[in-house]
Amino acid sequence: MPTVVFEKKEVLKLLGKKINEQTLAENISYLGTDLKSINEEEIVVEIFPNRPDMLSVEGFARALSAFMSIRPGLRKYKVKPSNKRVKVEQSVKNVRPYIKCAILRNVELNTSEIKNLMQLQEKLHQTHGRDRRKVAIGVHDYEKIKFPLKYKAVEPSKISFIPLGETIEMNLKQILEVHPKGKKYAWILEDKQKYPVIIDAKDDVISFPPIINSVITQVTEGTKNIFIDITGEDEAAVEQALNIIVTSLADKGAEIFSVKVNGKETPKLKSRVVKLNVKYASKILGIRLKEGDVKKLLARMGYSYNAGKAIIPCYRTDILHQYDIIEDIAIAYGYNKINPELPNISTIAKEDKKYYFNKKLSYVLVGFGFLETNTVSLTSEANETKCGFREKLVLIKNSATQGYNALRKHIIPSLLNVLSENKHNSYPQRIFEIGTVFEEDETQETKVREETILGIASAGTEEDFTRMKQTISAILNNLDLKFSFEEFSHEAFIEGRSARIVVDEQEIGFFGEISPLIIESLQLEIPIAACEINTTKLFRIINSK
Amino acid sequence: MNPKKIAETLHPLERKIIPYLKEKQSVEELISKTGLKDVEVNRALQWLKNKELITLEEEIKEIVELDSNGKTYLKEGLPERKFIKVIGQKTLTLDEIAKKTQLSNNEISVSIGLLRRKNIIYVFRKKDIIISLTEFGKKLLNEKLEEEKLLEKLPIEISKLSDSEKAVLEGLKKRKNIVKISSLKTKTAKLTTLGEEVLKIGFEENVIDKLTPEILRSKIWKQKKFRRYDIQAEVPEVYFGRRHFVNQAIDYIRSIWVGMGFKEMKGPLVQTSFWNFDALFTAQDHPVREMQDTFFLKNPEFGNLPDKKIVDNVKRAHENGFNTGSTGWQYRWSFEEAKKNVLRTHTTVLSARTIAGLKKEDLPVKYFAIGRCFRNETLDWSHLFEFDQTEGIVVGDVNFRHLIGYLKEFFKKMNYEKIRIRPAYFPYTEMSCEVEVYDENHGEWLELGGAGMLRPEVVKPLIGFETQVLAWGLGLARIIKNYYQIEDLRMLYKNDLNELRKIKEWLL
Repeated sequence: MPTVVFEKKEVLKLLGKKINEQTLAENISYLGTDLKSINEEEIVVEIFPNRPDMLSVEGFARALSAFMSIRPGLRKYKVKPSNKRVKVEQSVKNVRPYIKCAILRNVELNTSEIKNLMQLQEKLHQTHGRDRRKVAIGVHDYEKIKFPLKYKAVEPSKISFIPLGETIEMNLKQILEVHPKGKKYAWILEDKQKYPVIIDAKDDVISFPPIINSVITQVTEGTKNIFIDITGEDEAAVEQALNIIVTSLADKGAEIFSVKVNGKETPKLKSRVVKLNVKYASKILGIRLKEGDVKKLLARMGYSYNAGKAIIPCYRTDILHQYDIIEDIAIAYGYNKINPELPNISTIAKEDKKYYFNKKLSYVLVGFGFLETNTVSLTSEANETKCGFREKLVLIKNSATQGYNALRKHIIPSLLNVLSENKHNSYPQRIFEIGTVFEEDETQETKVREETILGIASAGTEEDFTRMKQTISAILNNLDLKFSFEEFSHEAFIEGRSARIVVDEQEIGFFGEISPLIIESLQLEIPIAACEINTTKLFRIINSK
Repeated sequence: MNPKKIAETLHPLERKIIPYLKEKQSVEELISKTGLKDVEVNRALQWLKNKELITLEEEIKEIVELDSNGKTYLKEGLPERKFIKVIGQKTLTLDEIAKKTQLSNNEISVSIGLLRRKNIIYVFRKKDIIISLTEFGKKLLNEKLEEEKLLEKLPIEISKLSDSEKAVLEGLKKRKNIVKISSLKTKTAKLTTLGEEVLKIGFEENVIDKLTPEILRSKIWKQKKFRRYDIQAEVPEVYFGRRHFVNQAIDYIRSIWVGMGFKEMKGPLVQTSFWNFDALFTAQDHPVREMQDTFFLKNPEFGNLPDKKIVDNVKRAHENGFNTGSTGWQYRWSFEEAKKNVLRTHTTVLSARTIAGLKKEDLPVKYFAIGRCFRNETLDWSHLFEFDQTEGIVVGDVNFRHLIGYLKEFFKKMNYEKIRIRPAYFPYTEMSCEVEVYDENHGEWLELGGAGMLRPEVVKPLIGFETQVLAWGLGLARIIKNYYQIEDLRMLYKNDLNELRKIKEWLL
């Protein structure tokens, strides 16, 4: 989620009122942003992904000012036609199809304004624009452009210009290879034969979206009028981004002029109308709302409301359903003003039988004096092999933590790891755990089968095959099961000192004395006996009787 | 306790030692005098001290003992002894003495210096060096040198030496490897006044220590008394079997939900993206899909999608809102993306699956889940990649007030009286909120999870009709951390057996 830093001074200036820090902090929290910190100089907030309109200090202050009843209601933005044109050629259709533009006059661009505009642009790129792929924003000095503009796709080596930050002309291919922005965003144009450019009437390239603008139109402190181009793969997202930027700048006093893109005026800044049923809102929230209440509450969220129709400001991108408006009503009402109530719903509880079975088994082990451990399901192939288990594991693609890139198939390695980390504690150490294990299985929905296994491990001078067999026999007798043991060989155990456990003609587990090779690799010097019992199988057997 | 009763509690080991302690004794002295083992003496002394019958002090003693040359000289004779012996009544040259004694040049020069200072020899210098014994020296042919007397006494505490012996010691110290000084830490014990009283009272020899079947059978206990036990004596620790504290917490929380009439939801830890994300209206390319860092499976990479109807509904919900009255996310939904296997990032995936299986006549229903979830974070003190969550849904004629009601009730049972909620954002809920509880002990608010009402774009495609669903997902790690005052979340998986043996019971 994007974190933004606003200058407290600016926010207060835009609010037009002096507000103490505590009141400000409270209102910011209850408006629906995550306040990270606030002091004399700065306000640091995390903006939720569904409110890109608050990524600029103007948009943030705008929302806050309505919420605090300083300037409630729907903000209307005037758009005048500029009569400037942009022609979109067919060639961009399969490259980067959508473009929308706007001209803003009387923009105050001092260093702090430029900084704000760049922060907004960057945050919009990161989130809404999906790292520039979905939406890319270009800002230009309007005076340096000769209209009409052409937006087309060209062969990369056929066109060159001087990109921002450079002093020599480069063609598009070179820019992707050499320019820092080119290298960073080349992936967006990876599979394209032609690259998109915006060319002005002088046949100069003014922009190579989504990569970089040309130096010709570079915006400086003196710039009074700007031209904005927004290109992308998603028409709605492009339009939303444009709306957000122009309204932010307009809130600071700029005038908005529309541009004709293939005959259609952009930006439109239309306020959407969505039906809102006050009775429905009352039902969903559980509070009695009247028409007048809703009108006042929505005004504080920047809407206008009348007779069942809510008018949504043009910079909001997140209103998909009536529910979204109802949430805004609740926020304005005050989440903590809503009185909690437990409904009178009588239902009969039910616990998962298998979990209950596993829990009972745990208590049998506890009764034997075993200590329950809690280990992770993730492991590594090396870890399993070290303990004598070499089977194929389900693998993870992209683990962020070293040594945890596979899902375990057995519990004994996890238990042996615990023992190896407890050298410094007194013996005997007798531990157990019931955990989930994973195995590939085509017949499952995810092609992975998950089962639970009870693992037991005992380390101590008296912990041997006999004691383990006694424990296992007691457990299975307790479950009233007929069981038997069979010969069994496994790398983890001393040859001739391990056995398979069979119940109802099925193998449900195995146990034995751990091989000294493995004990050594764990850097221990104590005998260990270990056991695994598949409780999923056991549960199934018991239930089938 | 009065001295008589104390006397009755003395252990056989204590009884053996206490008579010697009228005078100050060191542990070594007690060992040699009583014939007991080091461990037994030390244990008995500790018990006596606990009963305030003795004072126990630690002393550092300096001991002088024979070094390598010293041992040799004690056996064969000091160089100067050989010197004197060889000369006897005669007068010899240095060369003759050297040949007869076989002493090294160094030993000879040291001996000459020594014997001269002590006025044992006369040294003439003519053509060669000639040496003979003085009257005093001749006497020493039959008497021991002071150095020899001292060496025979070793090893000995320096404090036990007389002043003249100490002076001799200084001389020996200067010579090569004859003596060495070491420090020894030793305990000494002496009776207190109470101890003396107890000793005077004396002990009955004929007491029964351990009661055995033999004693019961022979009825000998009828004629003897039982030794009293010191009920204050320390006993060795024992440990018992236990459920891991995380599971104790889970069992407790589970009982809260069951107590409120909730049914349990269970499901696999590996899920397809369809259930983990798509069914929860999380757009396939929306930034929120990165909100949760996710573990994707390498093999098997893809799973199967469920019932065609549900998949189609969800697809349309994403693309255009389906028939929910929503605009949807407005993009092309991909089957491939939905098939990608992940380790579930929240238990909400179980809620989605449960809702898909509900029919109108089942409502209203209440379901809960507790289980493992995974986030692909780098492991550190405040981030776990594997953790437990508890989930709850209520489906039916319910509203936002009820949601807060359930949350409040749950946290009340978790001993948090005050809760508050703040607006939040999740792709699958609207109204969304973060839940915070007030920790009385630390005077701070703790964020413990998220909640909200599931969006119609989630509910309608899965269940087929419109209904309200309250939902919440709360992380257990923070709750457990708070209860046990754990600083480092990794302790939940550390499994230090000593910590597990000693950690307090989850007794909320």
